[in-house]
Amino acid sequence: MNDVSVNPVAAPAPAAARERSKMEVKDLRFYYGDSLALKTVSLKLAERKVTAFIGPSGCGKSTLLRVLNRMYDLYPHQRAEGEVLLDGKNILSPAQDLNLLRSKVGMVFQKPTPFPMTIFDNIAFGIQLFERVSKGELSDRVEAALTRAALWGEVKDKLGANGLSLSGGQQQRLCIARTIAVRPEVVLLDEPCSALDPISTSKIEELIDELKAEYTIAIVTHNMQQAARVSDYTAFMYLGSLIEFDDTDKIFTAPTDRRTQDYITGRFG
Amino acid sequence: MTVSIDMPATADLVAEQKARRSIVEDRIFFGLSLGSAVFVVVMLLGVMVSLIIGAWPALSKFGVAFVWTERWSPVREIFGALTPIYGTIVTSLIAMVIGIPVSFGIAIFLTEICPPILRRPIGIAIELLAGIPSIIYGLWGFFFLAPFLQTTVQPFLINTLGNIPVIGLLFGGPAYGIGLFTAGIVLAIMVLPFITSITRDVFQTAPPLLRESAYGIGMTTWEVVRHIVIPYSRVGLIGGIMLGLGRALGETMAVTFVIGNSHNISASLLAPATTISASIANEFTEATGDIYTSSLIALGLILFVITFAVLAFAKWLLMRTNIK
Amino acid sequence: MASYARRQVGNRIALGLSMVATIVGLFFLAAILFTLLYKGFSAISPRIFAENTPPPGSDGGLLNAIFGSLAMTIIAIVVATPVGILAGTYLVEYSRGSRLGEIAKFINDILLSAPSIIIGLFVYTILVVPVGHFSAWAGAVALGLIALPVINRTTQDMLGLVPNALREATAALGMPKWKAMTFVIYRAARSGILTGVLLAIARVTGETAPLLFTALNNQFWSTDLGAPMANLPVVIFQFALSPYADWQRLAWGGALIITVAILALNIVARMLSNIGTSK
Repeated sequence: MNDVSVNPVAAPAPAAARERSKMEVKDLRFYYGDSLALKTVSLKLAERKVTAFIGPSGCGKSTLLRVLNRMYDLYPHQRAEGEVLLDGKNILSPAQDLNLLRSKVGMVFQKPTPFPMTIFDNIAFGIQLFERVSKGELSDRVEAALTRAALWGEVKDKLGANGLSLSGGQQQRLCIARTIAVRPEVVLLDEPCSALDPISTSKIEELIDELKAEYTIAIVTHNMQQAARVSDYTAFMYLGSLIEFDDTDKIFTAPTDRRTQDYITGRFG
Repeated sequence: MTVSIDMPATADLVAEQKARRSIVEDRIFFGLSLGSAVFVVVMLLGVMVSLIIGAWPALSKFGVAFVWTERWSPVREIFGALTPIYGTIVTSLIAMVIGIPVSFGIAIFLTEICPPILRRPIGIAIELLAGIPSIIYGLWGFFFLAPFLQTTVQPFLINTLGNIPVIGLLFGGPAYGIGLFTAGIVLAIMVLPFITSITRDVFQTAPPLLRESAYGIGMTTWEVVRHIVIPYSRVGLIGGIMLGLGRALGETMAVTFVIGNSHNISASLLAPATTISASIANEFTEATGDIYTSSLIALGLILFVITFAVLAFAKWLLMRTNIK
Repeated sequence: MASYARRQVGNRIALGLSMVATIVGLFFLAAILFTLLYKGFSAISPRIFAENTPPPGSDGGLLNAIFGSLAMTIIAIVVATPVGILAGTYLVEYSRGSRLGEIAKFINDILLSAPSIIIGLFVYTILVVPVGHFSAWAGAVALGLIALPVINRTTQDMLGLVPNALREATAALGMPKWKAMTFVIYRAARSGILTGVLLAIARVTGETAPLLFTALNNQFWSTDLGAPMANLPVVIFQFALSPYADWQRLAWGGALIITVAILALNIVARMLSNIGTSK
C-alpha cells in the first residue's frame, strides 16, 4: 500500500536540523477506514518556529495536523500508525492521556467555535480544566490571553456578553485567546483565516508572528502568500505524501521538486 | 486520589491529578448514559415479559382458540378475543379508509397549492389535532358526533346503502349513534395529523429538479403529484400510513366513549362493538377473578404484538426513505 | 385539444378535492375546540379550583384532581427528563452507529407511538399487584414511562443539530467529555431540549389509560402518594359517562382545563424553538 514512486523526504532541511525539534513525526501512516490517506510522512517541527503546511485540496495537510493532537481519535474508523514524538515521548501510544496531550497541544479551527457562554467564561473555562487558579489570578489570566489575542480593547467592557455576539473575526480571535490561555506548548492552526475578511486575517497573521516567541506553531493554509508571510519552514504535501520540506524562503524562491514548483506557480490548485 | 502534601504541587502534578480524575468522571457519565439508553430497551422487554406472565393463566386455559373465540362471559369465566380483535381491526380500517385520502389531500394542498403565507398557520392548526388528548375526542364524539350521526347520517345510510343487496349488510340495523362506524370516524380525525405530517415530509424529499422537469413537459400539478411525487415517495408514504395505523390500533379513550362496549360481532358497521383497548379500559378495574383479569391482559398482549409489528414495519419503511 | 381540456378538468377536480380535505380537517379542529369552549366555559368558575370532586348529583370542583395531575406529572417529568436526556446523549454522542445504539433508537421510536394502555398494564403488574393497592407513585411511573421516549427522541434530534466543530473545539482544549456535554453541548442545544420536555409534559397531561389502573382515582383530597389519587383525566372519564348533569359539567370543565394547558405548553414550546433557531 505504500507509494514507492514518490521519494519520501527522509531528513528535514539542514536549517531546521539546527533547531531543537518540539515535535517529530516518524513514518506516519494514516487510514480512513481501509484507505491510506498519509503515506509514510516524516518531519520535525522546530521549537518556537512557525511551520506551514501547503498543498492542493485533499493532499492530507489537515489530516496530518489533526494527528498532532490526536483529534482523529474522536472518530472510530480513523487510525494512525507510526510515531509522533512530543519532547521525545510518543503521543500515539495507547497509554497517552488525550486530555493532557491536548492541554499541551492546542488547536484553532477553520470556523470560529465560541462556546455558548460569556466571553469571560469562554477563556476561564479552559484555564480551570487543568489548573487550580484563584479568582484574582483567573481574571488576570483572562485579560492576558485576550490582550495577546489583540481582543482585549474590544471586549473589556463586555466580558459578560455572550461569545456568540461577536463578529466573525472577533470570534476567531476569541478562540485563539481561549487556546493560548491554557498555556500550551504547541499551537495548531487549521486554516484559521479562511472564514475571515482581509482585515481580520492580517490581524491574525500579526498575532502569529508575535505568538511564535512563546509557542511552537504549525499552520495549515491554502493561501500561499500567507504561508510565505508568516512561516519559517514550509512543508509541501501532495496526495498524502510529503514532497518537500525546507526553509520557507527556499521553498518559495527555489524549490527542489518540480511538483512544488508547479503548485507555487499555480499550475494546479 | 491523595497527593503527598510534602512535595510542592507543581503545575504538571495538578494537571495530571485532574486528568486522572476526569477519566473516572467520564466513565461514570458514560455509564449513566449507556444505562439510560439500555433502560429503554429493558423497558420494552419488561412490558413484553409482564404481559406474557399476566396472560399466561388465560392462555393456558383457552389455548390458541382464545384468538378466535367470540364468547365473552365473565359469569361463566369463558373469554374469547375475537370480538375485541374484530372491533380493533374494523375501526382502524375505517379510520384508514377515511383518513388516508383526507390526509393526502391536506398534504397535497399544503405542498402544492397553498399560498405560502397560509402554509405555516394551517400546518400548525393540523398539528394541533395531534396535541388534543384522546379523552377530548372521546367526549366530543360521545356528546356531539354520535348523536349527530344517529339523527342524520346513519338513518340516511340505512335507508340508502342499507337496501343494496350485499353492502346493505354493512349498513343495516338501528341507528345507535355509537358503534364501529362512529369510532372509525373519530379515529380517522385522530390519525389525520400524523399521516399528513409524514406525507408532507416525504413529499419534500422529491427533488425539486424532478418536479421541474415534469412541469417542463407540460404536466398539470395533479399529474406531477400523481405520476412523479407519489411514486417517488411511495415507501415513505406507506411508512406514514403504517404509523397512522399503529396509532389507530392502540387508541383507547376516544374509542371507549363511542364504541358501545358490546361483546358481539354483527355484520353492520353501525352496531356497537368493542375494541381491545376499550375492553381493557372498561373492564379491568371491575374484573373479578384471575381468569377474567388474565384474559384482559391477554388482550393487551395481542394488542402489543399487533401494534409492535405494525410500528416496527412503519419505522423500517421510513428508515429507507431519506427524510431529514 | 379535448384531451388537454380533460386533463385540466381532472387537475382542477383533484386540487379542489385537496382543498376540501383541508377544510374538512380544519373544520373538525374548529368543531372540537368550539365544543370544548362552549361546554367547558360554563363550568369554569373559582369554585372549580377551590373545591374537591363532589359526590354524585351535587356540585363542587376539581381541586383534588388538579393537584393529583400536577403532582404525578411533576414527579414523572422530574424522573424522566434526566434519564431521557442521558439516553439521547448516549445514542448521539457515544453510539456512533453501533448495533446496540441502532436497536435502542429503533425501540425508542416504537415506544413513542405504542398504546399507552399497555404501559398502564405493565406498571400495574410491577407496582400495583406486588404492593396490593393503587397509588399515585404507580401513576407517576406510568406517566414517566410515557414521557421518557419523547424526551429521548427530541434530545437525539437536538444534539444532532449541534455542529461537530463545537465538539472538536471542546476536545481540542482537553475538556473531559462530561464537562463538554454539561457546559457546552447541552447549553448549545438548550432550547431544543427544553422544548422536548415541554412537549413531553403536554403529551402526558392528557393521558388517561395509563392512570386507569395505576393511580385509579380518589373522591377526596389526598396528598398521600402511596394511595390512589384523583387526577383530571380519570375524573373526566368517570363524570362524563355518568347520568348526573353536575358531574358532566365538571367533566367538560376539566377537559377545557387540560386542553388549555396543553395548548399553552405547545405555544411556549414553539416560541422556544423559534428563539433557538433564530440565533
